[in-house]
Amino acid sequence: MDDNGPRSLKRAARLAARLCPPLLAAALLCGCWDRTEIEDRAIVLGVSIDKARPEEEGEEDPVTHYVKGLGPPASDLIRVGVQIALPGRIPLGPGESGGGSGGNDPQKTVWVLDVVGHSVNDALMNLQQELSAKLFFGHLRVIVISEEMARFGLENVNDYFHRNPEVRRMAWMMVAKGEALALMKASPKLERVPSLYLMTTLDEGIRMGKFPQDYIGIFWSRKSKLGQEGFLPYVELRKNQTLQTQGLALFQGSRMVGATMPLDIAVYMALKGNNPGGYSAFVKVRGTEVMTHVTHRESKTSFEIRNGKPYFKFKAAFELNLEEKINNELNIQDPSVIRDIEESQKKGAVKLIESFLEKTQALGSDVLGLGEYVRAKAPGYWNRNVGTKERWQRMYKEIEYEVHIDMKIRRIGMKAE
Amino acid sequence: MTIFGQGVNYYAFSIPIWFLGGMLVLLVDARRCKMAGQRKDERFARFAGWLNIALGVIFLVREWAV
Amino acid sequence: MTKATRDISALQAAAVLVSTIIGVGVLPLPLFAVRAADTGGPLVTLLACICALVGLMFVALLGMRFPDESIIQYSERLIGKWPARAVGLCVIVFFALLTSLTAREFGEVVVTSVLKQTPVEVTVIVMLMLAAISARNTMTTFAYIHFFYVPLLLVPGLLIVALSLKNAEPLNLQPIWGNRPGGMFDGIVTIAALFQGSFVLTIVIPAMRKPAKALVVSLYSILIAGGLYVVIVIAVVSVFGAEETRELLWPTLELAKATSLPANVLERLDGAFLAVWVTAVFTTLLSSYYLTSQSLTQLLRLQEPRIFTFFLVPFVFVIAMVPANIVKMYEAVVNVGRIGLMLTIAYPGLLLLIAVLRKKGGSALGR
Repeated sequence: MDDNGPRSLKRAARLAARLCPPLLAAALLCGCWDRTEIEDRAIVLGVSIDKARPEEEGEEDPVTHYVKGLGPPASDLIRVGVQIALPGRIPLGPGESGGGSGGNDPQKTVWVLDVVGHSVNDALMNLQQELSAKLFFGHLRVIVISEEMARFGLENVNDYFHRNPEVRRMAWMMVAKGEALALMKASPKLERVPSLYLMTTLDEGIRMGKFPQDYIGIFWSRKSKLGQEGFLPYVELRKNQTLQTQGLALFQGSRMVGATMPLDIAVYMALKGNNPGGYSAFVKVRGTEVMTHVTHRESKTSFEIRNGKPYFKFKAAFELNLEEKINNELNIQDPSVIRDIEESQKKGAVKLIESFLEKTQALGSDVLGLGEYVRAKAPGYWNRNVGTKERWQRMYKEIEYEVHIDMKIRRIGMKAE
Repeated sequence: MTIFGQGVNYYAFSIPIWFLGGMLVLLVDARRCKMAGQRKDERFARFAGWLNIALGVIFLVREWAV
Repeated sequence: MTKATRDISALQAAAVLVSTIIGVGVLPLPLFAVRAADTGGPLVTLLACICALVGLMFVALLGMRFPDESIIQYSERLIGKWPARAVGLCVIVFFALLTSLTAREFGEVVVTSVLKQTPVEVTVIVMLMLAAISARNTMTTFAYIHFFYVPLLLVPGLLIVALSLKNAEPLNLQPIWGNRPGGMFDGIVTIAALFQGSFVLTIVIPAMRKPAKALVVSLYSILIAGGLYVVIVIAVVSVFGAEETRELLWPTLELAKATSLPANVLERLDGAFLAVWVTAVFTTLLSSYYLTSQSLTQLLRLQEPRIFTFFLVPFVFVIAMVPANIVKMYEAVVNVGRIGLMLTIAYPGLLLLIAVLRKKGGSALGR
């Protein structure tokens, strides 16, 4: 512009001055479409999904469909519970008493609502119809599914939360024994926000070696894989309002097919080589028992094609600490005793691993992802003989394996004997 | 043509853009070309500016008619 | 564009190419790769990089033979005035289409994931106006804009990849050629099409201080931009697995969503990633817009490319709004991209062949 001399500059300035008012008006009058005040948001911290009885349909408001027969059948009815953070009641720092009268009572920091609907979105729309604030899922931490619902199938649930861009992949999804809504209503004393307590239980579980990483995103990835099935934490609300991890809820595709025992979590983590180790077990030795605690695990899974079937070899190594003796009969200072403990625990571990694998095989739920090894390392064999998830689910029931365990007791605590 | 058919569509927003674009071309670029003595450019700029405005009118009429 | 200014260094030229290539395509890239050959996605991307490099090298070699002209100009001397003008018009229309599809893709991502209430038209218009205003600058400023933004694109991109790799599983990447590599060729073509913005090199060369460096520039820029693409695909596929990637519309965004900074400073990086990505889209849009307006000026033998900046905005906007939904839009992106390869790879290749056979143009090393 400057090469045209001062005259053009003046013109340009005049033009700019003329254009200014309409542009300013345009900018100021439009406002911002996506402006939302934090008070206008209903921040959902937790969601529970239960199966509802068909006769509860009357309770449902025809918000998304008012013509009979336009929605799914009444047999698909679900009850969705949400835990909404009450603005201003959530304590921000540890020392704060949680602005207002809420204080430490979890019931007063959150608001638990439940509605009935034919699908997740239908239920949430029914809920939205009676709520002034817009439901916001950006801070959703926990999704609790009742066992009945999980066994019915989670395709709709997965689809909704996968599709919703607000939901984070680091949220937890868990299967509850019994009613899922009860977990939303639970009021544990440790955390002031109940959903956060559920989340912390599992997050700390990872840190203590009680549970493998299994966020909702990881569950989805595993579920999608051709040679692997997903699993979710299987939990139960105990009488003192705590959450107990009962085992793994085993899935086949999007449908829960079974659950394991708590110690099977340790087996899963051992076979995956997840660290740190977090489980203790009784070991029978020389007619008495001791308890050992796993501190570190390493594992290796390999396979070969034997007689046209994949044949797996599991190698796992454990480091243990001795934690307690039942009575004084054993002399720990004797190296042969330690060797016996290791030997005995090795047998026990093999037995546990075999029963875990047997169980998952019977259910056709390859939670360990053995099929992924075959798909990745023997693509030719996979393409010829397997190819699809369904065929691997069938083949998984027939695979054979062997287990090699190495146990090493490293420490015995502060007591010499 | 289906793209200019009935129903919800995105073209309403283009109307101010047609006019704004045309006016900017006429007021800024055509003048500058004139001052720089680029006859050919100036003629083209005038044509382009009026073309934009004409298309804006067409879209405006379409918005009314449909 | 004035002929007198030849002040773009090789480094700046490379920056222009890198920031042009990295654009909207980053988001659906892993999806395209995985659709082609599931776990072979990274390999497909690598092959696509090579394919794009070949095309860019044609452009660079042509530019070295005709260091003062762009493809619109020297093609007339190679294949005759009217055929060259016809193809030149196709190139211009193609880049106008590319601009509008880029803007629309941007708008769709924003309206889906961030600004859900804001009409998509507004997002598209704002982005187009931004590109149009920036395209009024001279070549030197244009190069500076790109040079300024390159580190802003590369560093956060690589950071997200590096942070996400802690959740990676090597099994997800095997076998490296994929279990069903049937769609490999289609995938290579689709992904190579994401590199087409690099065609802007043809108007950068006449402003380069040393046009002889064009070949090196194209090599390094593909190495950097293509390297980032491959790394992103590796990260996405190794974290999610091929089958899960297939279920995600924008796997790269999902990766940012699943990645957190250490010690949970930021629990999800999608916000940060989108901010970076807006810049990436802007630079890509700017380049294709600039290329369109400059080429139109040359085709019509005018001197003032700025006429076209505002003139084109409504056209590009209306084209951008043609696809009725996001599925049709991606269909258009893939198809337009593939057809574009004829113009951005095959056509320069043909021109180069003719130039060599007819011994037209000076030697590159003369300068």
